[in-house]
Amino acid sequence: MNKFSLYTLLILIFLGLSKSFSPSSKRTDHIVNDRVFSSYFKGAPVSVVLLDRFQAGFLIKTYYFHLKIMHVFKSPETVTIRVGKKLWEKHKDNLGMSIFRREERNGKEYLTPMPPGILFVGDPSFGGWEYHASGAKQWKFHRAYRKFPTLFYWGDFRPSYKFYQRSKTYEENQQPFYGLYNEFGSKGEITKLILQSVESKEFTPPSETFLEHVKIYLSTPPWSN
Amino acid sequence: MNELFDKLILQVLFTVLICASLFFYKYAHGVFYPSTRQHFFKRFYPSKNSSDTLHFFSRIIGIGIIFSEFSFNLSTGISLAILDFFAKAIFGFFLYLISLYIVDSIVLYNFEYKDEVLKRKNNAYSIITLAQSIGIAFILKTILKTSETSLVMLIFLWLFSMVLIGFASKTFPLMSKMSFNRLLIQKSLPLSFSYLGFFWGWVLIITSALDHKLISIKWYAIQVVLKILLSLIVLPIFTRGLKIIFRIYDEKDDKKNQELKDDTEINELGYGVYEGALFFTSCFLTIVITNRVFFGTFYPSF
Repeated sequence: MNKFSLYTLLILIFLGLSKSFSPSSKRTDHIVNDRVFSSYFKGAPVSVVLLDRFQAGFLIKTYYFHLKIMHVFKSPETVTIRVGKKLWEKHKDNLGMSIFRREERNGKEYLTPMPPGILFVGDPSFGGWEYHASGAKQWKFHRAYRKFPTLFYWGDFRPSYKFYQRSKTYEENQQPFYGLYNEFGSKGEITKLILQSVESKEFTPPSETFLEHVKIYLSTPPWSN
Repeated sequence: MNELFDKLILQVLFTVLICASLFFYKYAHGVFYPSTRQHFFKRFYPSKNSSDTLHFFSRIIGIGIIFSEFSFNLSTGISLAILDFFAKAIFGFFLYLISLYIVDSIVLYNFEYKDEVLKRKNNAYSIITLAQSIGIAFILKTILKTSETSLVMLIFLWLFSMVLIGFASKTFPLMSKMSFNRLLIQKSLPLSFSYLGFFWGWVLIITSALDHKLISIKWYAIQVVLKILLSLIVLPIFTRGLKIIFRIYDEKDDKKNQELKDDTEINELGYGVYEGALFFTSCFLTIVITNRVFFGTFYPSF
């Protein structure tokens, strides 16, 4: 066996052993495509909101989703998962959107990206339509679910009946719906609230400017304590 | 698997970067030591001149020791990690070459590399420069660690360590019974072994004194000076203790054998090894007392 083969063998052994014992790959779940969502997210009703999507690495990138899993009777949980490149690219415009939902009544599942919380809008168990003086109808959650607009980062937004109807049409056609005025999704105004929140930014690496970094070179400890 | 491949690529890239910085070192060495330029820029034949090989590789070992302290912190991004590495690497090898120049000027002021190594093939000279190259590399490694990311503190600590090693290297006549300049002209290997133990011993004491957290400049300086003073107190006890415990009979200590203090006796390799090893071991034991005695709550403070 020549030296080159030995060297290649050495690299393969190193990669094999690293793969077997690598704590990072064991810690973070890997989801190749969205068909796995169904078995990955348990319970019903459940709505999964994409809080952040980021990539790590130098030449060969690893792709991540930072997700918020919303249950009704449990506190929401946030998870970070590794995803396939195709899935990562697919949800490029869907930041802040619900990318997976499961209904409680019939267990029906949806993979079409929709505004967060849409699963609960129009369901009389969670709220009802309120009439305004103008005659327009607006969704209001029951008292028990009054925190939902905050949990879904709606801010002052409340869905109108028109919004609800349009969302249903898009869902039936399996087309992503970003709101009547594109207020949701990566470019949406309401989603920017999510991007500004601490929760979605916790995995973003700290940014440091060049000058800030160079200042460290000139730092000195105090003369005395 | 993506992450593992990517990590491996990055590690190979950093290996190449280290090699690139060694390339810069080669040129910097040529600037500081014009007489060695021909070895660094032309093909080197290790078996041609043993003393030159010793001298040449001592500088390479030294830079290897210094580089072993460097790190790549990718938390702030790859470009800043590379910037950090190059900033420290360039400062590191410039300070290393200046340090070698200073110590050479203090210890080997009567000798020239060209005469001793290239013409006379003086192995003793080469072993002494090897001791200095490796010793100074260890000191620089320690101050690189202590200064962390601050280049200002690196320069301050370097100046401080240069003062310490400068004074320390002048104490050779106190420790050894060998005449440095006279025996070095005679290419005395015992002298070189004695000096090797002496210099590395001092390096141990200085690095152990410098190696603690730099929280405030004043207290750091006080602690270093106190540790060196304590070392000076403890060191003779260990030297004497080792001689008594292992029943080492030094003929030069015997007043009856004063006449034996001639070159034939002192030029025995064993004597140089004895002097160097005794001092080196004593220094190792001394740093246990200066660095490894933890009082904890033995003396409670209120």
